[in-house]
Amino acid sequence: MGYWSGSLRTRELISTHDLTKRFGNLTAVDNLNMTIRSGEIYGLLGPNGSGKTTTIKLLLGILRPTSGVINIFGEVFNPNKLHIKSKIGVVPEKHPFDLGSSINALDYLSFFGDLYRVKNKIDRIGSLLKKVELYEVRNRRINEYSRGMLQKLSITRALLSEPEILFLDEPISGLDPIGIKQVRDLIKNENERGKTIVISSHLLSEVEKICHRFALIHRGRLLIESSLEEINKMLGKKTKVVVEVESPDERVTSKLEKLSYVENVSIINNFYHITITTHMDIRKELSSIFMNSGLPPLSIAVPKLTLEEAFITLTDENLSLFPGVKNGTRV
Amino acid sequence: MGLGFNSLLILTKKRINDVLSDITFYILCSLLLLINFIIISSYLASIGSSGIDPSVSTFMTRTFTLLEGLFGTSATSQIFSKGPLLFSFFLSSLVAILYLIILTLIKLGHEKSTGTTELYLYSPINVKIYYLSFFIENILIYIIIGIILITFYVISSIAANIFFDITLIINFAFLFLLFLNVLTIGLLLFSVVKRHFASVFIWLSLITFFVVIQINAISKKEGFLQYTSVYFSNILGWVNPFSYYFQIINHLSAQKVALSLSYTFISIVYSAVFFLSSLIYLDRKGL
Repeated sequence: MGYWSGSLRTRELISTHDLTKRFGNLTAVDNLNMTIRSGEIYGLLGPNGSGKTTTIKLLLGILRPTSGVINIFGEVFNPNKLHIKSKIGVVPEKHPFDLGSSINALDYLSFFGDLYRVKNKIDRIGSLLKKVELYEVRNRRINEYSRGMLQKLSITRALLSEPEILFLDEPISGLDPIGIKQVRDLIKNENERGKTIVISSHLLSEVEKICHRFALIHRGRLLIESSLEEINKMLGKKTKVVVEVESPDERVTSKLEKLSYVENVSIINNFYHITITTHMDIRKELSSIFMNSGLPPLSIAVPKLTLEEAFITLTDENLSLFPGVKNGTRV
Repeated sequence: MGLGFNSLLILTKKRINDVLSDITFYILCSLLLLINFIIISSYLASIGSSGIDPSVSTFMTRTFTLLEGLFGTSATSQIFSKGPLLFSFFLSSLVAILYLIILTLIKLGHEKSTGTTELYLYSPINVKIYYLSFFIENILIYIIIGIILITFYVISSIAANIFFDITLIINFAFLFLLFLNVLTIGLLLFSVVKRHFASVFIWLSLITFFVVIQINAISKKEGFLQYTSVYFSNILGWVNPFSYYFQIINHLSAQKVALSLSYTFISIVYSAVFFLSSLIYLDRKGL
């Protein structure tokens, strides 16, 4: 059952309250308030150095917050609560090799299986390795694995204990297109099986395809926490509509400018670029204006906002446009 | 079995397996046995009708010259008064302690820099379990080395008819306390100093300093160095782990059992304080 099909499954699994981490004078995470709900794929997004990995390390108890509180499974989290940690699977950005110089995939997974007290360990490891197509190379030393294979092995390790939450730090970074697709499919499958997934990535265009909700982080501050649809709606006040015609006519421009929701019209070649201040579907109305003016539109496109565009719009310089996202508070 | 205990057991088992499957451990054991063999055979070769004559063996001549330079003539004769085993055991233990602790600090640093520590801490392992696994691993490996050496001495004493003094076993226990003291200093340094090679360097310098102070303090030589060392030794007595070891041994040989026991207790508290301090520090600060 996926996130959207289970509308009742909105239990808060993780929440942070004014979470802050300072390293000397540098504030890596600044008053972060975020909520991760059960069953969703949550994207922790932002450019390199924005504070994503620090946030993950805080959430998982590797770093201690300077101030603020983290709640996981309804409990105030601290790293000594091992029962909470045992319900979380983590795929870190780095792939450690020194778990034994000649260790193979089976020994590697077996060690973690013992740590998590996995029942039917051998069967579970076998079925997971088959699932990620590593079964054939299970006896090969892991320091001979490619980056893609290591990533899949790391995901297998994280899934070994059937965690409730899966954290993936830059899961597709450095992977080839096939590897990206495989990892993406794996994430979707696990989410459909009911797992809550938190993905940290700077590759916004890649993760927007799979995430239900996002937290856009910039300079340690939360710019916005929402779904792409909601972000689209919020930023929709500034949406552009592109209408293609055979030969543009200035009279149509003046007609369009009289519409209350039209802010600006410009003509570039055979295209009208109309900036509108509503997120309503106005294509029908625009179509009739063009038709009545004897300019049947060849196409009307409303380019969808991408996360990258949303991020660029929401950076510090433009924050004043969005009262709801000031100082890293939630929308 | 609790989750924490299970994690400690699995991690410690893995660490011990790693050491026992590493060739350097066997090289160390072979080296220790070789050193012991050379000392014992040289000692046997030096025994004449009037006692020990170090001039018979070049190795013994050099060893005596070094020891007399450090401790004085009477102390050196005392060291060998009960045969060569005590000295060779003390020397072997120091080498083993040095090896184990340097190995631990390097491993700690390596695990931290490669992200292995993080990976462990993502699983049901906390800082306490992580450090305890190193602590227990070291204790068990030290005991294994001790057992190998004592077995070698028992065989040697039977084969060469050397007196096997039971105080050797007692000495092993006290050297074990010294080992814990030195190990916990290393662990605390590693927790506080962020750069792991710096922590190894500081630890080595500190231990060398303590050894030099201690050797000079117990030396019978007179002069400025001796005076300064005694002065430092008195000041540093409470932090120098070697001073505890020598206090325990000296009081024991002087039949002052109560004093020896109290120093033993202080030595245990010493290790506990350093170990707990490193745990509390890491628990508060994180990695």
